[in-house]
Amino acid sequence: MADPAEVALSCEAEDAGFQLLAVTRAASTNEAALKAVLAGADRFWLVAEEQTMGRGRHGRTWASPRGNLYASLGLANPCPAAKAPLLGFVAGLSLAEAIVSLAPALKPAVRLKWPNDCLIAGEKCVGILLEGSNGPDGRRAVVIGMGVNVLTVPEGLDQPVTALGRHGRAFTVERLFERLSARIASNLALFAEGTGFAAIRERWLDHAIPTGSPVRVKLPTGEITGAFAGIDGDGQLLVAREGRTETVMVGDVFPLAADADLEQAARAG
Amino acid sequence: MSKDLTIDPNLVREIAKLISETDLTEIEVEKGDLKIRVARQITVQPVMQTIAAPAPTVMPAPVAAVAAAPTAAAEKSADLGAHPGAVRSPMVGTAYRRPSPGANAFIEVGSTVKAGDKLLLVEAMKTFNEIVAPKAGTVTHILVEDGQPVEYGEPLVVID
Repeated sequence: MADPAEVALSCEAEDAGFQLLAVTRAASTNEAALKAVLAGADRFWLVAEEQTMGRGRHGRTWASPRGNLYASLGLANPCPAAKAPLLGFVAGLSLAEAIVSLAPALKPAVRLKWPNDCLIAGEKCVGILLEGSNGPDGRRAVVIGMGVNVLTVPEGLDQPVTALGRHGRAFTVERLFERLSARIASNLALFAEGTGFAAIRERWLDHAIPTGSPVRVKLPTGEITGAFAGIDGDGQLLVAREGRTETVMVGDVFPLAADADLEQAARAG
Repeated sequence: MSKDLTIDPNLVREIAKLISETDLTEIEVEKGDLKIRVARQITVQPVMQTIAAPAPTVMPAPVAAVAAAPTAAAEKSADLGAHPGAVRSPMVGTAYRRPSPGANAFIEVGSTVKAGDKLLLVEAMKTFNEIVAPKAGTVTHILVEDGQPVEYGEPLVVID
């Protein structure tokens, strides 16, 4: 269990000026962190042992029982507004790196999925929700919220899910947060308010499903299948199909490959 | 780890704000050797919400394309782009008029808003951006449909 007293920032994050509030319970860490940034905070982590009204996309509930990590990072003016969606790649990359640093054998099984999902052997282990707003003073707030299944897997979901604890004994909320806070501090420096996205993109692709993997993409207008062809300089998804490359800005990606090697690596971790 | 025993007054202010403005019930802050714990009495909430999928596959179906058939909204947006009260999209994305599919819209034409009130959401690559009123006034035009793709700088709402 995450005792609030035990959750701590990494030295790298402390040195980079990040602050942490670890709380027993929050309605929604994203909501509170967003308010804190609008009130003047920056580089502000809020970690809760549990959320009573955890949020997902489009106002959906994110089940938040104890035993998992619920962390929101509030940032003031992290980049121009139009580049804020790219912070999702910073978040996903940092999480993948944190997981792999705790269990290096998992590297082949940990896969980032556009735009900001992280899968282990094809099973979802995290939800990332980015929210932004503006203060009346023109201050721009962006919150990166992450719910990571560490010990508990929510039930009754419509897609395969897993918890890190099933893939290695190294995973605890405290260790994961410590590594995550270090990787995000480092990757935000690399991101350099958006000017360094090329470097983030390169690292993100290194942890992504391999290019050429078959994917199904649900678009607002229908569905396409093709081969994953990476992401472009604006973070848009590239899908190769019928001899050309399509750029996708809005859609949900479903990898089609059932990779036996991935599953083996996941168990080895 | 820092051995600094002073605590940032800004942090204390933030904590006070968080406690009063949000539903946080207990806060424990640790900085160096200093530890602060604040708890607040709360009314008991129902224990668990219905468990929802982390990223359910059902998406509200956004309008196919802005260019598909010039709607009344699209025509109006061209005229009103130069309006001084026009609130523009900070990014390329999808505009949403309500916080969740079944909820009421943030605003309607005729709504009175204060500076900072939520007008719309613009989503881009799963990043949800609140579009807030830059000033107080009355909403005279809403130039986007729920789920409509929007361009960078496109006027979304006019406040007079």
